Amino acid sequence: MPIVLEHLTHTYQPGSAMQATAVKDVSLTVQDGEFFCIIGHTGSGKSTLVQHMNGLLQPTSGRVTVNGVDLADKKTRKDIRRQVGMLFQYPEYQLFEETIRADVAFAPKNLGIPPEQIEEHVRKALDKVGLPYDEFAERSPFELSGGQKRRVALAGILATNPSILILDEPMAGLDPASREDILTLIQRLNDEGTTIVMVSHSMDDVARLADRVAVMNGGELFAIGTPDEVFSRSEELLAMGLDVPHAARLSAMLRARGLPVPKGLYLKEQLRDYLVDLYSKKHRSGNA
Amino acid sequence: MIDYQGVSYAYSGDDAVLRNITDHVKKGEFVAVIGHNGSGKSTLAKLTNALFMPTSGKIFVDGLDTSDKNNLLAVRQKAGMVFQNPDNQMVTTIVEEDVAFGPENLGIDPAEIRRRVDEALSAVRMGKFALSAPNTLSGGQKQRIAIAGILAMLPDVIILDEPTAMLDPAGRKDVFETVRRLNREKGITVLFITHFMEEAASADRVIVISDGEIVMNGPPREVFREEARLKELGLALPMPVWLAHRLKEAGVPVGDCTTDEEIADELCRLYLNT
Repeated sequence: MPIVLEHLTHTYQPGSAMQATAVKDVSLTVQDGEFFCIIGHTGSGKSTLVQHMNGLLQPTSGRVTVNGVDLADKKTRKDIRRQVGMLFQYPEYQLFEETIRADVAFAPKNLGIPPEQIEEHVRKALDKVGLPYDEFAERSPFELSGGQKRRVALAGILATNPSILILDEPMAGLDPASREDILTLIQRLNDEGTTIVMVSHSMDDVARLADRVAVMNGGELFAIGTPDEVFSRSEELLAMGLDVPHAARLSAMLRARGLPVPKGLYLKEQLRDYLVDLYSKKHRSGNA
Repeated sequence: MIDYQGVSYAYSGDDAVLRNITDHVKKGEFVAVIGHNGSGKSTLAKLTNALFMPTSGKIFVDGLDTSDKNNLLAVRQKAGMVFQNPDNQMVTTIVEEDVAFGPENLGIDPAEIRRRVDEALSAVRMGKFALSAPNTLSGGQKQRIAIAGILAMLPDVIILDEPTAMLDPAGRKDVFETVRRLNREKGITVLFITHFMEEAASADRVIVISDGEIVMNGPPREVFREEARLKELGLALPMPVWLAHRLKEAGVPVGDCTTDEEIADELCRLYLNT
């Protein structure tokens, strides 16, 4: 079920003094089953862009289709929303029910899933995020840890069985262990066939997980490609206020000091392997 | 500058979220506080700013007892706080008025306020937004304004509760370096609560809180040496420390490193035969 954006432009409050074009003429396609990441500095249009992917925002001009269905069509939009789940930033602030069961059931109920099926949806969704139904369903979402609350919010999205997940900085504000939990969970959903569109500031996560990366800058699509292709343009990314993966940053620093570290090492494991290898080669030739 | 003497805190009727915290933060020290979500870090910040009073024990900020009601305003002037969510901190409709709000309340001379507001805004690279409405800014930009608002009060201590959690990498670096610079150049004492291990690695000292107690406390070099312990506590290593550990395991004789600079120096020493 590909997402196709064609010449998408979005202007907030057109015609008023506050008029601001957040997204300018963006065309791209997210393929079925892809892990697609969007990076860009604050205010670059990332969030505006992804809010078009489930019809939450309508383009000022251009077209958005999901699986061939034009999201401008009100009649079909609701059906698409069930297939495209969207997790906003800090979603735990949107938890509001007294029990975890009720919170997770909210979206499927709202989207018209028959009542007799909802319980099963809730059970499956909670199991998927690693919060077993029997243990958690009757508890209050507010007594959970930060990482657990976020998993409840994610379960609320998964409860409608979406085939596409849009995640706006899903790891922001979490401690390292909770980050890793959520990332592993997202990766597993992707392995099982869910298409993932993830907005992220963490270049390390993007380098590790993305099939393709889109770079937004000033509302325009600056670059799109594999992590290798995109991060090979490090200088340009840094110039626009973005980061590069930590391993790439450290590699560049080492190169500048005369160490023969090649370009193209984006994961810390790659840098480790390279340095271990280099040391043993040096050691051998030193002994010879 | 800050003295914690056996501080415990419990929200009414609940179990204690902080237990028997004892520590001394020196004047001019930059202390990072790390710990898992729900460890009690934020509560410690709010206690230091006299937003909460200890259930037992005492906190002194520059000698002032935070539980003495007469000290309330003085404590909050000395120890300014930047919260995690900037939306809760905006009070006016124009950015520069927002930044001026704190100093105005302290009765400072208008010309001095003008100077401080300009300097604070440029320190967070928001100078060109001085006349914007806060509601037109993105989350990251709003957070930078909130930080400017505290900077404009030139406090002795700045307490920041995950101030960089929502910023993009450039904004995060900007804010962290701004706070670090204010600490170095003006001697402002900093209590910096964060989930970013790389930020903690640049602190003078790291306090690790778990389930309401201080479980590790020392220079980054010492704290990050204990990888297994940190993992148990739901934390991770800064990347340069991780790399140094892995290289050492593989037989590369790298010494302790906490920052990119340090590991780059070590690697040059080892690989360039100088």
